[in-house]
Amino acid sequence: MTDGFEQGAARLASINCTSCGSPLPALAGHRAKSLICNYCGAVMDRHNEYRLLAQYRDMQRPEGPFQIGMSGDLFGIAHTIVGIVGINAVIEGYGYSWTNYQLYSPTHGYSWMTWSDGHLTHSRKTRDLPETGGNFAYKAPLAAAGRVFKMYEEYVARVTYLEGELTWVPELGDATRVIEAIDPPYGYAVALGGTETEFEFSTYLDRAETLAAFGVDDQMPRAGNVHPIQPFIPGTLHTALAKVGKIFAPLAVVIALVVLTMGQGQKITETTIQDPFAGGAVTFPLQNTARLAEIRITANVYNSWSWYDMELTHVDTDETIAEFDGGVEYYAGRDSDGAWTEGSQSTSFRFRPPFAGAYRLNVTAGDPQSARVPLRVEVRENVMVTRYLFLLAGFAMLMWVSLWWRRSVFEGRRWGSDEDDD
Amino acid sequence: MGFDGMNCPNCGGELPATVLHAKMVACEYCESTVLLEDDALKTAGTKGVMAREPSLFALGRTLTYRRETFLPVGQARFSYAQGWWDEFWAVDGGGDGVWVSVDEGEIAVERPYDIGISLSPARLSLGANIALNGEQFTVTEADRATCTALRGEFPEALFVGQTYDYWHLFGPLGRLVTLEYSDGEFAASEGVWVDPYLIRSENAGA
Repeated sequence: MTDGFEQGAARLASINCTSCGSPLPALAGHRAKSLICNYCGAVMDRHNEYRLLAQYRDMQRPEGPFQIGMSGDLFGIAHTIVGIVGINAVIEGYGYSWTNYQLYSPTHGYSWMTWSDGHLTHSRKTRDLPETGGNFAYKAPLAAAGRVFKMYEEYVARVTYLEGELTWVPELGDATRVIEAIDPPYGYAVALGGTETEFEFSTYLDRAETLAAFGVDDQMPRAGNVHPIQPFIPGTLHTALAKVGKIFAPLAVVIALVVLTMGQGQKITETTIQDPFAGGAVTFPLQNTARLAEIRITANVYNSWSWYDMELTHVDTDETIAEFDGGVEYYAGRDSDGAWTEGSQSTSFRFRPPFAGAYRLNVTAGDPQSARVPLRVEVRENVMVTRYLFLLAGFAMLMWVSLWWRRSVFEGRRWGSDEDDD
Repeated sequence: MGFDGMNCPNCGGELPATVLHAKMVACEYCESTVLLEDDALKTAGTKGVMAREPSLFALGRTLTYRRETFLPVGQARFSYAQGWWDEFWAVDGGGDGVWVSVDEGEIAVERPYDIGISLSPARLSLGANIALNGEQFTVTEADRATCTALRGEFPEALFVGQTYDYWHLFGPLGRLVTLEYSDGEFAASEGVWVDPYLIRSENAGA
């Protein structure tokens, strides 16, 4: 017993042009209706013994990386290029041209691969008709093929070049009104020809993968614009950083706010040294050696400054723990831009106490030119620092927002000067 | 031994058990087709030469389209002016039979359909508008085909060499009606075109 099938018959590999005799590849199946000779421009009827139907001499093959006869896998399906059609359209006053490659698959039939300014797309006929009415307003929703597309543009496409085997009998200059809607990386088009309306579903193709699949060494210029159905694909690192940023930024802000509220610590003492030029000392106990302590000094300087030398001593051991010098300066005024201030009447120093016990802070005016004003000294312990958390939150937010910003710029280029309003 | 002695009346080869539910089967062992008529088996004709061609469809291999599954159990090949196509008789997930026509990636799934009116082939010219069961259809294709080969089993008698006139009618929401006319009788089926890129087939690599 066999499986009941016989080997398929050998197929014609080429045919001579019935006009000029040049050998032409015969790669398509029986549903291809025409064959156009790339030597003499003869259009022949494949369904009627290659009868000559028309002839278009001196056509210029449009730019593109492929040739008839090339084969490659798209979506895991083998396709062969059997025809080439050049298209030109004027859209909003600008002329555009692109190259359609007729694809043939014995199992999946006929479809198109389009080369447009460095971008590659695949289009196939669909019988999934639009589910919504004829609202072709810019960006209006269009439900079809299980997706919701946005109306993108409308134009008239004209045939400028013909070559190889095609599924219809074309004429040079044939015009088709096309309405395109997008849902990247997919597109949906309504093509209104002279006698029939067709619907197409398109998919954006990865250029490098597709050229490699068809065995083409990529020597073509890079794409200089964003294709209508080109998906926004950020780098892996940027995507990962943005994801981390999206999660961590709000978390860091919350943590920073909690630390800001809880991390001010407890006030241990607050005292005023009436005349820092005469010197003064403040003695205070610190118990927690695991957390920071903070010394904040405040002087009521106004359009002046004051500088101080400070020494912190552990009372029991009489060991000098730290020596600070620092000051406050504060200026205020009014000019043509309005009122202004500069500097601060307060400053603080933080340190981690090495020992529990009593500490003494000796303070003297560090510069004879300092303003002669009382100095208030406040000491707190169990202080937590928040500035690094806020910096981290800002950085995380920047990572998150930068991806959104890049997407906005990309969408702006997709839609022209009109930013996506989603 | 098969089941109740159901063997090919030409060669004696064992027929599949499903013959009890089919009208006709192509014998796997000889060149015959076998018709089940009045609970008796008789040789109907030859099953013809079926050349192996790349296809998403193969007898006995399940495929899915969107949420539906289909198991092809019969394959009939027809030739027409430009080439050939296959009609698969398949069982869907609900156990109902459907016809699946496959012509170079043009694929339609159709079920038997009662057109409800008497038609004349003369009315069915290309572009003609026909009302069927209250809906308007347009004749988009008209041609003549000949059955060239049969494999598997079918719900009706098919004969290699039999010629059919057929018409495709396009209706609302992409619906398709196919009319066949042979030996003075119309048969009709109704369905939709399907997107081959959405078919998931065990035979996809063929």
